[in-house]
Amino acid sequence: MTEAPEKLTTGEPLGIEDLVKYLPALGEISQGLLKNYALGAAVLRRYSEGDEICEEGEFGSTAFYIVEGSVDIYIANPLAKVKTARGDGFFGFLKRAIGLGGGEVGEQHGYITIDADVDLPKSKPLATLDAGDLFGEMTCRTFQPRSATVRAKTDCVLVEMLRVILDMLVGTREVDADTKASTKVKAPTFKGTTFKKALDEKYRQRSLVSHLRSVPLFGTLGDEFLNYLRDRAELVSCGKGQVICMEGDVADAFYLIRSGLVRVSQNLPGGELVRTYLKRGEFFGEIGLLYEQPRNATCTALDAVDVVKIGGVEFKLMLEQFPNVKASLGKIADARIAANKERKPPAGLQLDDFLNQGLYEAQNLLLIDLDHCTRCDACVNACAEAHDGVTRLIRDGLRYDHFLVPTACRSCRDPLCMTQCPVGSIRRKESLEIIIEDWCIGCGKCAELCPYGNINMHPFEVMKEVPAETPKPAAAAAKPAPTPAKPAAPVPEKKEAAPAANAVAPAPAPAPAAQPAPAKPAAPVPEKKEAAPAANTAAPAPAATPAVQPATPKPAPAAVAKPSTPAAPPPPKKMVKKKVSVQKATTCDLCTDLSIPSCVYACPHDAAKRVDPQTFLASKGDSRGFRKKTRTTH
Amino acid sequence: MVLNRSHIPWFIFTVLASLAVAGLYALRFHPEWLPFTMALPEILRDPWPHRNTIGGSRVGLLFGILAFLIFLFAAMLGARKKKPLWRVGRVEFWLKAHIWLTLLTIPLVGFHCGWHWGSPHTTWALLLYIVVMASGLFGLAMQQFMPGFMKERLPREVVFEQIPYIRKRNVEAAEKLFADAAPPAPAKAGEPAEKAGAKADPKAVPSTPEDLTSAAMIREFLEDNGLSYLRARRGNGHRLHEQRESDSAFRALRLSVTPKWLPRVEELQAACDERRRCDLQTRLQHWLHGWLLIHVPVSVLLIVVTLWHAIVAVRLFIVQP
Repeated sequence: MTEAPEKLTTGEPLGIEDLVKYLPALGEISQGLLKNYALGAAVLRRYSEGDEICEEGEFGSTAFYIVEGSVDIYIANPLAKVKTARGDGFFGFLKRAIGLGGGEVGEQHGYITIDADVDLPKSKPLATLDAGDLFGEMTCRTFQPRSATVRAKTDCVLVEMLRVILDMLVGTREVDADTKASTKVKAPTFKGTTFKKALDEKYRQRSLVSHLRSVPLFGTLGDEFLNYLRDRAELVSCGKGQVICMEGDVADAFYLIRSGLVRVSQNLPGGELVRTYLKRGEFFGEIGLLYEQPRNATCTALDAVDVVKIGGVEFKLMLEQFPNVKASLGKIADARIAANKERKPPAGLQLDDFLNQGLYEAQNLLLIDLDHCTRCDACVNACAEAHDGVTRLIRDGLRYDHFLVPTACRSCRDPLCMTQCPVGSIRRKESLEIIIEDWCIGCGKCAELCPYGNINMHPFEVMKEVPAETPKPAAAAAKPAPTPAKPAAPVPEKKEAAPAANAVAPAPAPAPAAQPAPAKPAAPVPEKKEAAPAANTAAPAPAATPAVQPATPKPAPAAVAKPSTPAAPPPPKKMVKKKVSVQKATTCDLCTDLSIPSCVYACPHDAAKRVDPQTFLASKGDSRGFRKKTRTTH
Repeated sequence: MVLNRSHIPWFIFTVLASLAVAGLYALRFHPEWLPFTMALPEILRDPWPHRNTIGGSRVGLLFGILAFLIFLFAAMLGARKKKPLWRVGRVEFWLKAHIWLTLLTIPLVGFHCGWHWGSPHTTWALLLYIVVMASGLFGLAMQQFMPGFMKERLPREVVFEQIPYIRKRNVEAAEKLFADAAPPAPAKAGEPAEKAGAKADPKAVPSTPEDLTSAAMIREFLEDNGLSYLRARRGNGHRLHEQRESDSAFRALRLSVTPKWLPRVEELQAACDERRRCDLQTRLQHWLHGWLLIHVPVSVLLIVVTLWHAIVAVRLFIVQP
């Protein structure tokens, strides 16, 4: 995890008076606290129109408050993903041609959730924030990568702040017991100011309705009812580790996540079992209300979580007035209940291997029976064939008894990969498979977090708008600080820095069988920061001296203006469409659209199986020879 | 493919189908062999062909056609594997059908030709058929125990395609050791390490007399055994290829060097062990898949020859009776 800086060094330093001037709510904090903690923790940043304030995927620790002007917030990384082939061949083609084939399977997500109080429509992932808006709160609190790119729409003035200022404004989120116990330095806690209330009210008035509408489930609600919900919904903030609702409690409300990550878990005789993680835009608490039963799971805030709480009365009214919402909710609730029922304690297992290799985490594990496998690689080839030539399966890994556990997604019960995606593109549907949506920004967090190396970063060639490569006026390039956090530059070409994590890397394979812990095989996570300098060579480099840029056009006189005030607007940046390589994460999606995963379907020797390891391996025991038939997932 | 319980239905089908083929043959050509009498359907009752060949009769022709259709189906397995995503049945099912239906061709072909070689032309076809069946059965036999054998003998199996990279990496490591073990004076031109471009690590250069002696021993060992073994295309015949010999040689080397060099010697031994494992994996892989080099091309040839045989037979028996 990135360590937060104690002081901000770039930008115009703000004294206490200036700080209170730009953020009046800080006036409610005592001068002593401000002097102790606020100095150096916030700076004023000025941006000219078109300047990039932060870029999606980059790491940071600050939030921004817009004092003047407006900014565009958008996903610059074009939508793309490795597609899963339909795999129905000629007959499928015929069916589709005559209109019998099914369309796109699965739930359609119309909005991309980001680290601000707006959602970006998937069709055009762009929104505008104005004076008084705050963005980057989650990055500031949890050091997640930036979820979107922010560019100044007009000349604007922003306050960039560290977490301590954010805490002063909106209140310190309750710290969980583990953090409290392990923290030696006691950080100050703040109750918050009216800023939070104003922010919530602004959200309620401006964004809550659109947020509700962005949830596919509520898409059919009428404006009148949405306004009714808006006025009655309660906005609740929770700290890390805070329990939002407890298993066994009376169900009295429905929750829609506004920001943060919620862990859904159940208490079993053997301990807690994490069912899933829910993000902004997702909801929970419907089962208890629908079926009038106690809560069947505990929902806990994993970090700073804001939820929209809709009371039981309003929820029931909604169900009565909108039967289609009730029907949709019922389907989702049934799917969640069915998923919860599948759990059996392990028995007859080689416990050391089972635990060391993390197999207890897996819900749907790809196994290769080494007594049957002829090492023909039909499974790998089929996987590549099914996913645009990019395999998500490497026939290498640890062994359990006579099985090879290859490198392929195992649909963990506690999917760590999902916990830090800044845009929520890695997620789980109601079934087991973990999918990566095409708005992945390629930050590589999920690949880094997967303990089993089962997520790879894959370069894509896409057309993208980048600034034209025209030489910059020397004087403009020499503009003194404070300058924008990042000069507008073409998006880094990461291809060179991050080779395709393909099936067979041209590097020696690890010897995972010898390793005591699960290996992380050849799937290099791209080091974005390392890639940037190389790519920036193509950018309009700031000229060191005029001599190196003889063809420089006449410098704009205003470009040498005062440092703290925006000069005359620079000439508009010419954008051109250019083929660039961007990174996207890929992982096994169990061939969602197919009845059987391609690797299993293509294995000629009945060696590849997708199984629930607990039941399958327990039933196998250590038997040899003709094995009794056991249930496989596929 | 391992023959297990899932093959029982196919086994029963093949046995019953073979019995049916044998019964039909006996009914048509040797009714006296049967303990009962039974009339053949009209369509299968025809006079003996003018050359007195069984294959030319309707029953014989039926056997031949069925066998040929099975050949074609069996050949389609290759195409099926090339299109793994086509939902036309699991490849596993195709392989089972491939195995058992081709086994069924033994009685079909045998009764088609009346268990005679026939003319040179049919003799060639039969020889090809025997080669195809023998290679296929050999492959099937290999698949019964070789995967398990590989599992037991190769606890650290690697992706087969990466073996060349692993070998290259090991050679580079040994060359680096050779360069590091060079005396402080500039190495003579033309030494293997120089050729390979390996540069000595300044920290690793021996300094004390004992270290110098150890380094000299390591260089000698590498020159005599290590490098040649790791660079060799085939490890057979090298001293370090044998596990016991290798262990003994490295034990001797470890006793002769100072503690400073011990980790490097162990690294070298690990590289040699890995090379040995890679060689074994390559050899086993060749046994497991090598038969396909005969089976596939001869199968194609067999289909061509069978087609030619069909054309010739049609001309002989139908066009020019």
